[in-house]
Amino acid sequence: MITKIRLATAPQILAMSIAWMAILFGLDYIYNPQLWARTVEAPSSVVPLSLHFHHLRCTGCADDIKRALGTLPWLKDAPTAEHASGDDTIMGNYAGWLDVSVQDVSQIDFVALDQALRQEGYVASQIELGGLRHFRLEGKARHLCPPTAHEGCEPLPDVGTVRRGDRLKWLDSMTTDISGSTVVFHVRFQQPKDRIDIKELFAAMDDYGMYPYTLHVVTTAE
Amino acid sequence: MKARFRFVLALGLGVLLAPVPVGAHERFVKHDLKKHLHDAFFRQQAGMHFGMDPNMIQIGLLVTFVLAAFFVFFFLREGLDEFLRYRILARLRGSVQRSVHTLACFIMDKPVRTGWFYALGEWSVIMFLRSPALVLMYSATNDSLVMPSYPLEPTSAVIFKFIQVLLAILILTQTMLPLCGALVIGTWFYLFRWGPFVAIDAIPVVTAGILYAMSPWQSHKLAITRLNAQQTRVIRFVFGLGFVVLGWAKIYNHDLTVGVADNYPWIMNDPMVGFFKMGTDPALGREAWVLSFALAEVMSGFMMMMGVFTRLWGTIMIIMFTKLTLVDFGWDEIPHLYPIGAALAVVTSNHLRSEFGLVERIEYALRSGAPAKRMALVTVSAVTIAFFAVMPILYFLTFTDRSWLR
Repeated sequence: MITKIRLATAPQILAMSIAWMAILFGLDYIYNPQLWARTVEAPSSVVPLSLHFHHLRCTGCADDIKRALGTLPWLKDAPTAEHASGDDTIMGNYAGWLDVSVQDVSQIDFVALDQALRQEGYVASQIELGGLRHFRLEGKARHLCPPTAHEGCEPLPDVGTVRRGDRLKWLDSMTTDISGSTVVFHVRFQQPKDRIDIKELFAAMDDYGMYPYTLHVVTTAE
Repeated sequence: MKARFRFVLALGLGVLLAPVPVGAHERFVKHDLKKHLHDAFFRQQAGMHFGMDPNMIQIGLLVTFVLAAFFVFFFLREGLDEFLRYRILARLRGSVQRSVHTLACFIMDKPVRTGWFYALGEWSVIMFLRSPALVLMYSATNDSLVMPSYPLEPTSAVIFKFIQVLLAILILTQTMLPLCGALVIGTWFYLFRWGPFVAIDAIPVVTAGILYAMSPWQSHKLAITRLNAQQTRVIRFVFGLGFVVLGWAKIYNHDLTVGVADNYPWIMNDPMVGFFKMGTDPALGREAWVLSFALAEVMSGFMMMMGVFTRLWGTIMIIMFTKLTLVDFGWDEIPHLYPIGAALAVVTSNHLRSEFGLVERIEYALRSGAPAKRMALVTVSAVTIAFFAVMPILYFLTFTDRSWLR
């Protein structure tokens, strides 16, 4: 039985609202320090790149793969290491990771990497890039729809339609330049241990029917 | 009028275009600018009256005129009601008489005393009270805050999503609604962190927060099905204010506004907007469209805010928002449940008052024996209100610096 209706006073509501706002700002400050940083952290030029192969630990495969990678100038003398983890360690499973330390991030071209491997008869099931926090991927393509186009070509799809489940959760947005020759994939801010899988992007591009002839990592300011 | 509200959510992108330190990119409604506007149109120009483009002055004055006409009709509505009652309704009988009377009461913001309207009002309040919980849940499942156009940073997404789910549960169970109100309002304050345009875009959310804040602490034990006069007034005012500010923001951020139109060109064929830009220089058609579109929103929002033909404008808004959600944009526009709920609750309230009670009281006093004075009062009041609602801010906006939007 309610004997008296109790209402909140305006000062109470104001105080609670401000307190809640302060809590949200606090959470923001704790979990998103990059948004509060006054100085922009200089990106590292040396970054870890990990390639997962289903046949890495078969006899001779690792050497073939390294030879394929050696055809790329930016990977020619890069230090590499192999490791297996998770299901890869089960008896009879020859899969594994090839960790590469890329010395100059600006030289990375994922399309060239993919093609070099395919030339040798291998396909990486995952291509994971880490070590960077705020960056984007720029691809050159021949059949893009420029933002100024009124009709006659299909614009880039919405990010929401490209993502499927956990695929491309790291993708913030996509844009094309005014000439319609460059597509930019903006990567969401990464934590130090985060990695993005470039193969997810390749799969999405296959779905869309677009294949760039280069795909570089860009860490400079827009 | 039809397409005016397509931009409501798009304006949130204004923020994403400007003050966000990281990751300011298109996310939601496409707004790639295909052809640049003549920026000078929106700015001070040497050698022109008041430094304003003559087309801008023309559109501003036309909107002022239409707004003033609405005010004149509103202030004279008692006289119109008398005419309707004694000259028209007196000749009718039965259900036709009752229907016309109900319709007249509805349009003139008078209490509608029918059972179905009362029941609709109760349902509307329940819908307004609880539907924001669905939007919060939807946003949480889409890694967004409050509405899907505000994506959460992955690093903090989980905690913000759980907070939204908790708030949604409190709302759905009607538990501690004043606390829910404070959480909603506090979250809205927090949105300023992402820039003023995001907060402007989210003003309809605040209307729900106000309702919660003005509810009893024992809300879980009560059936809340009516808005009182004070709640109706505050919700109506804030709801209208949101549209007024959104309208001005469209002029300020004109590239974004026309960018959306470039991607959805059919929205430029709106009859009311076409009326406002009538007779302007065809070479400045897109600029005139942006201005007309924005001022049409300012006009409708101002009337809602001031309680002038509230039900008429509220009903138009409900129809437009529903159409946008069900027909044009689908799920992406699901946050429209916020304004639809607010508009429904206000439209079905029988506690509607205007903010110009003083003018109405004087008009009432003059009704019996001073028709000239009465008309002068109504006309001068209407023109003054309309003029000050439109022209000064329009003039002020020509001085503003938009360079930081680039």
